[in-house]
Amino acid sequence: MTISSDPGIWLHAIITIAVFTTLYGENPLSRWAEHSLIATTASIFAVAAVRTVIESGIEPLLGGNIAYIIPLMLSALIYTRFIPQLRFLQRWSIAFIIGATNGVLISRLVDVKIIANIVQYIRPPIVAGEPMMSLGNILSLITIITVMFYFTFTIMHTGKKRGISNIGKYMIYGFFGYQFSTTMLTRLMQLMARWAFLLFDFLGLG
Amino acid sequence: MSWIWAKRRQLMWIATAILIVIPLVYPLGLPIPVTDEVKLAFKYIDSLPEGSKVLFEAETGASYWYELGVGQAAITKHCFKKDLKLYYVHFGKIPDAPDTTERAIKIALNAVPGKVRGVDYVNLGYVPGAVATMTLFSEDVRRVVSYDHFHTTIDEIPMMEGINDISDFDMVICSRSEASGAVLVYPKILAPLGIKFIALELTGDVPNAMPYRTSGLIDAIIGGSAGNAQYEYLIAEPGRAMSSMDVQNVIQVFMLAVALSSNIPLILQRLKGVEKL
Repeated sequence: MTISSDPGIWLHAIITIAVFTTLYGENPLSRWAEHSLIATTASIFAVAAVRTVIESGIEPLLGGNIAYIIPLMLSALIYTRFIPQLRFLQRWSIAFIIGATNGVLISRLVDVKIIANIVQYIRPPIVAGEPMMSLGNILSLITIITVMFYFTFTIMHTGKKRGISNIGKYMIYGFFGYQFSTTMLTRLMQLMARWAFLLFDFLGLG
Repeated sequence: MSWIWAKRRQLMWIATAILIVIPLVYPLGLPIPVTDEVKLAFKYIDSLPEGSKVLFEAETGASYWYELGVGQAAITKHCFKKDLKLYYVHFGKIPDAPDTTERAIKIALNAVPGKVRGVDYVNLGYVPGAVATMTLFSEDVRRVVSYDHFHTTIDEIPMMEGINDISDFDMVICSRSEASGAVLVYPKILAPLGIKFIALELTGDVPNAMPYRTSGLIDAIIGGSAGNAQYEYLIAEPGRAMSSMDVQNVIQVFMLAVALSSNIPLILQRLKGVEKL
């Protein structure tokens, strides 16, 4: 076991342990670690934002590309929110961002998220010689029909229809369960990363 | 019993910590079965001819190191071994992603030394923006990226010569493709050109990315730490991902046991006619 002599690793380890102390209860050490994280993140974002404005806006403008004055002016208008008489101008910037984003996204969303997925699920339920694929296709078909039925509120879900609706509900539960478990796993891997850091990088066990 | 109930949160964390630390320090050596999906991703990268250009759009923050960064390092090692040219670029909301990439490159260079920055690999730094930036990048690389992460202008970087748009790459690999919106941009452009699109996803994002895989927009998915471990196994470079698999297996069994032991009494009470605890 060789404990690291790198001050960066030490700081990293102290902050990790400080965060772990939250389990014992809210305390000044954990609060310090939390505030340090927020401050560091905010500073990184601030530097990245300023760097982007300089590199992607001001430098091309100074290089003679006059069109860059438009995004720079729109960015500056955001700050009019601090002047009550001119506050309405900030809406132009926000409107531009939302409009441009929608313009870029909407065709792609329809194409990729809706049409590509619908086309994919138009397939034969039974595939000869492929029992697992057939089972998957049948399950997909049942899921699509029952879940769609579950969300069809214009029909009363009574009698046999209630059964179909219930199957849809359990299919949704199944998906939520799968998603919850995989998210849990992601979080546990993050926790494991911290322990691995303390054991291997800080204490030098590995 | 009341003490245990009052301290259940802390006890859960202590149990979790013990179950993480023991397999980390004393690996159990459980087998790592490789899925067809990871084999496919490996095959696509492995079949690229020497000198092929691979674009890696990485949205990997420090906190996702085990879920994405380790995989990024494994793929970088593989690309270096195959003498492929690696172009790293970072969009989205993680400004520290280029530093995570540097960490992955450093690990890969330890395994495959001799690679030269600007000739064999380049880190094009971070550019804010998601779908709009990616779209512009795919149409005109130089309008989005002017410098690399170390502020070298891209005209001074030898391997950037002839790189103008996305069609100049032979493969695109993307971490968090579904969450970042990359899946909305690249596959539709790449598919007609016959360029493969591989996604490196968080375990928690795999269910969301899977529909794009089945619809053919994504050519292969490497899912979370398990996928990374399988990739390390395939390139015969055991690393932290493989060593984390024991932890993942032990923790999964523990979580399942906790979930079952917590729910069974509730179900039994319901069956006895008690509505709520």
